[in-house]
Amino acid sequence: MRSQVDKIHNLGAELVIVGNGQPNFAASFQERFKIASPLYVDPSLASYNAAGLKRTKAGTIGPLNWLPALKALFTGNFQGRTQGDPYQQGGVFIILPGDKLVYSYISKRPSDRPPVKKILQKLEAQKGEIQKLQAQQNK
Amino acid sequence: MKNVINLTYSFVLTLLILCLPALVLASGTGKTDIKAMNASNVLDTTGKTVQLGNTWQEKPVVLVFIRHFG
Repeated sequence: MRSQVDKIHNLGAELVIVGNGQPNFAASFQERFKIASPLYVDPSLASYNAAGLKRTKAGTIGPLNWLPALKALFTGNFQGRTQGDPYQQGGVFIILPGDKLVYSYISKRPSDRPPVKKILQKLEAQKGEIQKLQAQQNK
Repeated sequence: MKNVINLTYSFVLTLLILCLPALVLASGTGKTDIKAMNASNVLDTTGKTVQLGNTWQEKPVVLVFIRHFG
């Protein structure tokens, strides 16, 4: 996703990341992965709940994750010490000003993520709407 | 030997039965409440409170909720 930030910016949008740990976790995460996008944390998980995101033990440690976990391990993507709620799942949303939700993806388990290509396609489909918003703001 | 196998089998079965509710039950509605999302408060990396809805007040956002840091 991080490598696609420029494409998101070119489409007139911003990438915003929310994690569930503490601010200091986010600061070290931002530094470690050189993240320039806005990064927030929600230790209360209120925004996760509002987004309808899942919290599941089975989804986290269940057999459907064993193969992706092994794959990640063999490709050198080692997971460090977990900082935050380990059973909380994530998701991706595209939201336009005026609380217009145009895309949502609620992950069932850690390896369940939407293809970045699909997210960009959904954003691109809103190009006309985004241009209208930009024109209104430039008036 | 047979007793050891039976004992192990019983132990694993008991463990599974005890853990089953925790493993199967998942919280989270799966339904997005955009107004509640807008009103949610999050913290920036310095600990300052920010209303999440402010991030999409002026321009569209691709909002990614990550599982955890680490």
